[in-house]
Amino acid sequence: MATEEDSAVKEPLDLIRLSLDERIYVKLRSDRELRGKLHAYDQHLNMILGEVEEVTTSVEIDDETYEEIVRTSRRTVPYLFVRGDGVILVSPPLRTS
Amino acid sequence: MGKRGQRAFERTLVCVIQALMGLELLVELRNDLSIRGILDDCDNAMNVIIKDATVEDVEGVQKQLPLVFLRGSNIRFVHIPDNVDIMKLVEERRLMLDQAATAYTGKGAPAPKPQASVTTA
Repeated sequence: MATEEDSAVKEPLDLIRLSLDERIYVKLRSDRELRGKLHAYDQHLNMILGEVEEVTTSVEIDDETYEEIVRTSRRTVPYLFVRGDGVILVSPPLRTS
Repeated sequence: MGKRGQRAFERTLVCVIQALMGLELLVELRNDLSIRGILDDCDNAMNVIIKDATVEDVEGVQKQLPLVFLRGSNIRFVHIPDNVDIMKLVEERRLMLDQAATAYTGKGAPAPKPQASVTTA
């Protein structure tokens, strides 16, 4: 959780601090993505997100045609704690989808 | 906010999970299992003990387990019940730990054991 309000951006984690209370996009391992409001984070990138939509992507390869079928499933969670070791990247939400 | 940050784990978000001890929550694991139950204990590494647990896999098959120890590294998500005031719970827990610490440095009488295991090292 953020401690003193220091507006100087000294290290990469400070960039995340700028996104506190804003909606962010988080890419996780296992082909998952989250979009939600960042309430808290720490140096491990453990995060608490509010009103978060999780998108899980899976790719299946058809046995006969060998084409890739991309499937996504979504769900919404009101208040979620995310363990930092699963986080790949954090960003302001992208314009698409 | 005086003593906050004195304990190493209070500078991470594990203290939020620890503040939820005694409440029912849903934990999602990295292997896509989900465990719903009452959080009995949580340590600084996020290892948890869950009572009266229902373990559900991707297919929806459920198992009832009275007591589960889960290594923290296996956790992907923790669904926080949305009817709780998290900040209040975290502050209450911090207050309790401060009081327990004060009691320990007292006249040497055995102090009441704090609810969770607190390791400071």
